[in-house]
Amino acid sequence: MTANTDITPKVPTPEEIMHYTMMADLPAETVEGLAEALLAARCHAKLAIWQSASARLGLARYIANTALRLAAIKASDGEAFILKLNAFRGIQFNDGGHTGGTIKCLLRAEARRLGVHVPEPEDNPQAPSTKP
Amino acid sequence: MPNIPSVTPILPGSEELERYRLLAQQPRASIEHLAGLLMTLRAHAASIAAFDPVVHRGIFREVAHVALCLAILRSADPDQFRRKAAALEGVQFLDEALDAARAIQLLMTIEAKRLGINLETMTVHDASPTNPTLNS
Repeated sequence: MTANTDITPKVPTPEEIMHYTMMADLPAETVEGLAEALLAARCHAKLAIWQSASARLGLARYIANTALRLAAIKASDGEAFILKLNAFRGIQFNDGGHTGGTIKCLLRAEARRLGVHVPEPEDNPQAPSTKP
Repeated sequence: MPNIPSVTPILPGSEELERYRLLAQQPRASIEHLAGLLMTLRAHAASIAAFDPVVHRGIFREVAHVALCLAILRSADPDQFRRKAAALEGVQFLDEALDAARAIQLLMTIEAKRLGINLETMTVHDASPTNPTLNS
């Protein structure tokens, strides 16, 4: 593949600069913060009162984005990894399994790195092990 | 096993509802859209506006997020995959986003194998101590 060097500088609009400033102000992402955000959104999704299709769509997108970021962020140890696993427990995505499969792939790679066993559905869901 | 969280129904606050509403208004994610958005972000990152350290950090946080969203999308064919790879090639990541860079590298490598494409090596390079880049 050839080097992609044709990036022509473009000054962002004031609105875009405001958006970037807001992004910069956000706290750095952590496993704990993302797991908490994912669980909170999943609690919102549990409500049966979603009348607005638009809100449902936005919530589904938020859950998918947060789950992906959580799967991508590196767990410092087995304990942090299990915190991640627990936040994903029972999660479902309505996209034919693609997002779920991708997240599982990232988690498996991390489990290998940490020497942690990732429970498969047939395993006891309450007992992921930190033993190699 | 400590702290298995329970997912119980909770009513979202007005701020959270507004966040969901805004997310719903965004266009549907597609490789073409996200690749274009990533190139726009990279153009902003190359502009004088990015000399401001706050704007710089905001742009690169957005870059990492969009790049990750792009990497997860499934390419329908090798041409679409090459479009993804071209948009991602040479992207710089802040130190805090190095995890995202490595996840992107993994996802791209797996998809290249699925499509039977020789991606050579898509590895994260540390162009400078603070700016790792994704090159192929």
